[in-house]
Amino acid sequence: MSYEEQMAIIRQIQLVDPPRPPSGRLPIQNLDEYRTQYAEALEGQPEYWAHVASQFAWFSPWASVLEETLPDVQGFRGAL
Amino acid sequence: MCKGFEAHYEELLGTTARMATGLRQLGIQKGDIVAIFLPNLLETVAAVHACFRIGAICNIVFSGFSPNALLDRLRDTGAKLVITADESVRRGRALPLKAKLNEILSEVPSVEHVVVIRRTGGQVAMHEGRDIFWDDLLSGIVERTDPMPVEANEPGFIIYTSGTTAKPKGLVHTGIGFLIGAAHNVQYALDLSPEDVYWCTADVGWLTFPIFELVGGLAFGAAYVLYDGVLDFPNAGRFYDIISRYRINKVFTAPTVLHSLARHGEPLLAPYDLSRLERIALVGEPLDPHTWQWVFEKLGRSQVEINNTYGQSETGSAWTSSIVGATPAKPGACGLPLPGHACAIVSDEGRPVASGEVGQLVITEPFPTLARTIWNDPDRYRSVYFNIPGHPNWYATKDAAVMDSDGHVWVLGRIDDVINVAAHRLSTMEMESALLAVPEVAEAAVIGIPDDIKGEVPVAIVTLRTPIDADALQAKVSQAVLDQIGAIARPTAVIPVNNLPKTRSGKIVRRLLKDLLIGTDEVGDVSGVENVEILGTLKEELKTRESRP
Repeated sequence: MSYEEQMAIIRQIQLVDPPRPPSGRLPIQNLDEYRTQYAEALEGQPEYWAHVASQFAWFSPWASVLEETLPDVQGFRGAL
Repeated sequence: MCKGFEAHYEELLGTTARMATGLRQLGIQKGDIVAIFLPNLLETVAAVHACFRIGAICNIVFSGFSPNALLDRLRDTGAKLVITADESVRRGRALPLKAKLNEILSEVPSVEHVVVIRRTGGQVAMHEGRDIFWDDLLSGIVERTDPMPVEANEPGFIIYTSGTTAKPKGLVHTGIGFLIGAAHNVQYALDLSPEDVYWCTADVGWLTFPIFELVGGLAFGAAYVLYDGVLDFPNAGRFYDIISRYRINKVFTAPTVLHSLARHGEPLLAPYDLSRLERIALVGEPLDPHTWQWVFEKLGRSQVEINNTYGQSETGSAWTSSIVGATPAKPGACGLPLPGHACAIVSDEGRPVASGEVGQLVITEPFPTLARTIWNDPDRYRSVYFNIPGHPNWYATKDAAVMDSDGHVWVLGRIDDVINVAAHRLSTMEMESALLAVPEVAEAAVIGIPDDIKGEVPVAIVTLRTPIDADALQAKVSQAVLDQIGAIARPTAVIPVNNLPKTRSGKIVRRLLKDLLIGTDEVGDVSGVENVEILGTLKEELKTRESRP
């Protein structure tokens, strides 16, 4: 199938809501919350991942969440 | 009949911590490489976690690989210890594991010890002083080794992915980054909890299993179903049988499994009780909208959420996904980028394209599960993955994709499937479908080969349904391409061959054809090629090609 044929199919596909209502335990409850969380994470990637990482048990904390950039990135430097 | 058994978290922890002691007794220290050549056993889970526990770097090697593919990996990592089993069992037959390893061990002097799990109890040759059975090693150990602190950027494991050139690439992931990102991935893509009975159908040799069961999966305390076997034995209903028998409510599998079940239709499904099933998550290849609908309506009775995700061994996570229970799905799409993953779809020049336009999917900011380098080859890591013009710090997926107006990502195929002829972007898939319109052509692969004037030119490699003279074939193919696409796409050569190289799932391995055509004597990693025996003949067939203007 060519890209054009694939795109013609893609344009016709409709959204399908998840069949079960959110359980209350979910990290995100609906599409609006997803959009907000995605945008906030985009604004501050290091803060977002630091928040995720803080849910784990560490021997000792990181000196910095993010140093350098790709392809030489250092994440959670010094953390054990 | 398979025998099943239950293990509790405490037992898994005990085995893991004692195995960590065992690894240390065998001389394994932080930073040493341990190769794991095993199918999906409980011991496999314990072995991988024992490595993480002492800071050893593990390399899981798919147990279906040939001795040569195993040899390439052991040599490249310099593994010090290998953990394997006497045999594995597939379709009721015992297949050798230790014997495969024995064939090549003399060529890997770095290996000091081999630990062998008794899976079948079959007789295997053990080398005195080097090889030890898993239960013999553990029976003498009471002491549990505590987890050893490892800095967050140190390597945790290596996983090999097929290369486009001679050598497979050993992707290096950190243990800690992988844990953080994989757990995040599981939370958003599956929402596991201790109330769930969950099954990941992948083989431990593919990164799906470490993400969605071994590391990310285990972080949530669910009851995990571990299955060592194929999904179409003893019959095509195995997938349904296991879900029904263990009252599974969440499952992670691959689109190809669902294609096959949809083809069998409702008669196969009817005898099983899947009423507990709430969610099916997927990764691996595109899921066509037709299969999606069948699964949703018939298998899932419109009650089951289908989450088709996308990721690569390099990204270490299925980073486009539904946020389960919360975001709507589009049948056939790969969901939305997860929070913490910044991406763009860009043109060849590195400029973001508009929504609805095809381009290359790139990741523009770091995230924890991205592979940090290629083992022994950091330059290759930079040149292969960081080559977007003007953006040296964007990760290039090499996948062609579209983001639609609702933000859903559609992955259309590898960008290698596009060739540039005199500044025209041509889809090799489109050319192949034109070739298949020629009645004599059974299968077709179109490859772009470098050309001094045009940049690249298309070459067609075909198998034939009925014999046809070379000139007539060339003329018919040219006409078909001219009619359906245009003169620019006409192949410069049409080469008939007896067989094309294919993967287990029947995909043509185009990169191998390219390696052979360009005429470097090295060919790519052939570990994924099912019919390797054809390669000698194929090479000769391609050599004798006659290039035509």
